[in-house]
Amino acid sequence: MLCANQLHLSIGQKIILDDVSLTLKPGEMLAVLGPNGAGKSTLLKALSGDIAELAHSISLNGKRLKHWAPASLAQYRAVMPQFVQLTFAFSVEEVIETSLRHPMSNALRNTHIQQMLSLFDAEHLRHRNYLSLSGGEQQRVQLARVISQLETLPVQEPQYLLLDECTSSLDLTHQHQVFQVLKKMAKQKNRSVLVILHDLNLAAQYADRILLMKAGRAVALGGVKEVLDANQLSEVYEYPIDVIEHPGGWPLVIPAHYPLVA
Amino acid sequence: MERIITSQKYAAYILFIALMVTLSLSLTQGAISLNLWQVLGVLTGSIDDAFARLVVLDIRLPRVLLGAIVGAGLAIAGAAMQGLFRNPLADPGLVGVSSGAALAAILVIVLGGTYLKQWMSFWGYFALPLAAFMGGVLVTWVIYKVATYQGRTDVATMLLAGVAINAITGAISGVLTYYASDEALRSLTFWSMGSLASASWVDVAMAGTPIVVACCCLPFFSRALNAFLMGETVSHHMGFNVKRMKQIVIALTALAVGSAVAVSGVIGFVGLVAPHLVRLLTGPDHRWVLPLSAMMGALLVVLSDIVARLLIAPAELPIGLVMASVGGPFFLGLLLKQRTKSGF
Repeated sequence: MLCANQLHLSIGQKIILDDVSLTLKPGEMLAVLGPNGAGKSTLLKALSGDIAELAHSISLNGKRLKHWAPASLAQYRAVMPQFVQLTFAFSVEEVIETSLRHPMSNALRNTHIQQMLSLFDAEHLRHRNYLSLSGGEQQRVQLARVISQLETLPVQEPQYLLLDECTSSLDLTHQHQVFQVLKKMAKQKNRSVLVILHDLNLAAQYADRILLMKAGRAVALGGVKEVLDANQLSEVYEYPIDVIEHPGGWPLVIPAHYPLVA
Repeated sequence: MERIITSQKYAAYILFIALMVTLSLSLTQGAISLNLWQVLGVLTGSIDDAFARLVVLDIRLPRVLLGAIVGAGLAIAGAAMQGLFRNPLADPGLVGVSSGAALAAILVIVLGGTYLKQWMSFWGYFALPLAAFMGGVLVTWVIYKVATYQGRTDVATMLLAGVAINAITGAISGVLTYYASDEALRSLTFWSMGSLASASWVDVAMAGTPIVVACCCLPFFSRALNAFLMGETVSHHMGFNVKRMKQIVIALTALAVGSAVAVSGVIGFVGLVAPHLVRLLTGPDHRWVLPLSAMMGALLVVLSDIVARLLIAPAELPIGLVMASVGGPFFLGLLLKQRTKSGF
């Protein structure tokens, strides 16, 4: 389990995280929602160990983050940031290769890279210059890199994927493909996935649980139907929002057409 | 930039052959022309011509080797720095390491007879190279300290600190030239433009040892540098010990540049151009870029030295001038060509 206990962080007078506690269970997909500046990305940074002063209040598989050596931590958790800044012309293949820390035979490496790229419909990009790809294509390649990092060595304990808006540049089809792959992986390989999202309906359709944040606080943490409540959402986003039920059985979130306050 | 050759192995073979050809050319050409068989004869000991032996063993061979060593050191340091700064335009000259080393050497040249007399008499022949080396290490340390805050090194601050250091060292060097004697001034000018003219076997050993160490150690950080190109946090998430990697790479870079400047003065452009040319051949993967840059740097410096020796023979030009006058326009051309393409 990935446990965060009462994370509190303030910079000067501004409170960034206000007593956020969270447990990420093996095999579950947790979506983190909330308006801009709610502290979602900071929470993800804290969970991935980037914020030194919070590393003592977070434990991964029972061991505090600050006690993990970087190399072994990387086998158990992978992080995809919102932006990856790369100005050198790596080929897509080379980008995936950076995640392979252990020596592999050429044939094995070839099939591994092929597999990772095919997860996200990116095999055809393999020999392309990464910098010449569109934003959405780059995102799919980064997803493949992050998954590849967890696949290189067999491990006994649960693994964790922390993804910050990993589908923000993808078209509708690819967004759903990605979430189906992630969901399937979570179940089959007992991996936990934490995703920061802006698309409430993607969260409604794929998440097991949802964390709703505002101004550094965890407003609600629970099942999809419980958190995606029309009044609660309207209040958090300060915008009128309706929730109806999709024929598939999950909540459908619709920003209301009419302004409640004229 | 798109690659010219698809197979990185071929690029390595071609570069190696080109380097060997250039080295042998450099041994045969000069004020006295020898043919390849004479050179080989001297090297294998089968020719007993005292004059040829003198030219090859005491003059040309140390000079060619020194050029190759200095070029390799500057180029591999440039390649490593560009990775570390995630900026293909970073260069030991740019962040002030070269000019720090140069300033220390100028101090010794100008003040050696007065304020630094003790230093001179204590270290003797090693006074100047040792000072240059220490200058390089000192500047690297200062820049690193300025740019490191709460355990994180900010790359942009590091580059800007380098700009400031360059300005400071430039000003101090300028002031020092007013105190220099005529003789010191001439040696200073020649030295600040870079030269291999006074190459000796002592120089070869002195610069060779640390540069060989740097060239052997830096490639071990290839994978870490590759990941680092995607950002500091990303490479940390991928399991690399980023902090330690930065410290070691910075130290090795200072070692290579300091030693190179110590024996040959300031030869600019190698650290910038050589890795750039290599990336054109192999792409940005450091597993190829680091070793091939060393070869490319050696090739460029030895080639420029041939030009420097032959162009106005029997006199010779400072090699830094040759490098800058050929390298500058060439690099501008590359940049122009690159505007239409994406990435380095």
